[in-house]
Amino acid sequence: MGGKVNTPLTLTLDELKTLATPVELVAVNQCSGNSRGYFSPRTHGGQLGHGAMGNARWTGVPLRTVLDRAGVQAGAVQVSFNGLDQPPLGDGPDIVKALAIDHARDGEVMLAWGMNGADLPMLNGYPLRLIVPGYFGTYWVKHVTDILVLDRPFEGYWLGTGYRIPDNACECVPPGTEPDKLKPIGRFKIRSFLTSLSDGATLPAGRETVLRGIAFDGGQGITSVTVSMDGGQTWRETRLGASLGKYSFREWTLPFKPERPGPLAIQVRAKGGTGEIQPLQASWSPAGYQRNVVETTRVTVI
Amino acid sequence: MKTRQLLFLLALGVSQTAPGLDITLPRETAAYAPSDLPGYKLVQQNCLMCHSAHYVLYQPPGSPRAYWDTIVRKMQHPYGAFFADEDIAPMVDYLVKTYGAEQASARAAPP
Repeated sequence: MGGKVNTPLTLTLDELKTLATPVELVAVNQCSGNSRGYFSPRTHGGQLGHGAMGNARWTGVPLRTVLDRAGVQAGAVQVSFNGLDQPPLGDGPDIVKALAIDHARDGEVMLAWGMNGADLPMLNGYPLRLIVPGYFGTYWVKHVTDILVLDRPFEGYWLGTGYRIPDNACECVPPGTEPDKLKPIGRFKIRSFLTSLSDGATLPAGRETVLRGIAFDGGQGITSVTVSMDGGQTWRETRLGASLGKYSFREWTLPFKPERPGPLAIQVRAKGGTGEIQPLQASWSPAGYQRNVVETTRVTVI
Repeated sequence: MKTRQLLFLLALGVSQTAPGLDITLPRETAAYAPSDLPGYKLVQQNCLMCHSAHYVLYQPPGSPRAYWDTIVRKMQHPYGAFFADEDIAPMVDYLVKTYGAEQASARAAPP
C-alpha cells in the first residue's frame, strides 16, 4: 500500500490476517451484465441468463483498518486496486479499479482471504480480494497486491471506458439509442427471483405447494417481496426468511395452492428499505447492465 | 498422516518457500464450428489464445456483419490481440456466416 499515505506498507498475507480481529460479512456479488441476454433489443456482450451472481460469507479485514495503519494523507481523493492478473496478451488494459476515498474508508469495504469458511479458491481471487458490498462485481478486484491512495481521480480503462452506464436519473436511454454522457457503474439495483420453479415447469392443481425465491439490493435491505399471479393486478405479500445481513440474498416463501389448470405467469417484486421497488417495465442501456425489472416465470397448472 | 503433515510443515519452515497450489481448471467444452471459410483457421489461431470459443457462442444471435467487425477490432485495440489487419475481414466473414446474421439457417436464441 502506497501513494498518499504517511507510511507505505508491505504486508504478507499472515501479517494482514493478524492486523486486526477478522470480520465476516455475507454479501452478494453480481456481474454488471447479469441477465443481459434478456435485453430487448439485444446489446453487445455475453448473453447471460440470471446466473452471474452469488452469495457468500466473506472473511477478512476492513480496508479502513489497513488504510488507517498506513495513514491517509490530506488531499487523498481515491484509492486504486490492482491484482496479480494480467492482460492475456500485449498491451491490453490491466484490470485496475478505484473507489472514492470515503467509500474505501466506510468500514464495510473489505480485503477478504476467506469465502464460506475456507481460503478463497483461485478463480474467486486467491489469496486476497476486494469485497465492495452492494456494488457490482467489477469492483471486487481479485488477487489484490497493490493498493494506491491517489490525490486525483483514477483514469484507467476499466473505470474510464469500460463498465459505464448512462449518466442520468434512470441510468437508461430509449432502446437502441446512445446516451450523451456516461458514468461508472455503482450499486446494485433491487432484484428478486422465483427459484423453486423454472420456466415451463408444471404444478398439480388443487395441491398446496410453497413458492420460494430470493431478493437482494444494494444494501438498503429488503423490506417486502410480493408475488402476482394475475399480471400485476394484485400482489400477495410473501414471508421473508432470516436476514443474513443487508447485503445478502434474503429468502422469501409463499404457500400457494393452484386452483384451475392452465397457464400461469408468476411475477415477483421486491421493495427495499428506502422505498426502492422493482419496475414493471425494463429499462435499457447500450451495455446491457443492471437489469432489475420484475421477472416473470411461466408455468402450467395441470 | 500426522507425521507426513508435520514433516511437510517443517520443510516449509526450513525452505521459507510457500507451497505450490494445485489448480484444476475446468476442461474446455466449446469449439469453433468447422468451416471451409478461411476465417475458421484464423479464429483458432487468433482468438483461442486469449479466450474460450464460448465468448463467441454467447454473443447475440443474428448479429450483423458490423457487430462482428466492431468486436474483432475491439480485440485488437484496446485488448491487444496480435493479429494482422488483413486477418480482420476473413475472421468477421467466418463469424457472421457461422454465428451471425448471414448463417445459412437460423439457430436457436440463447439463453
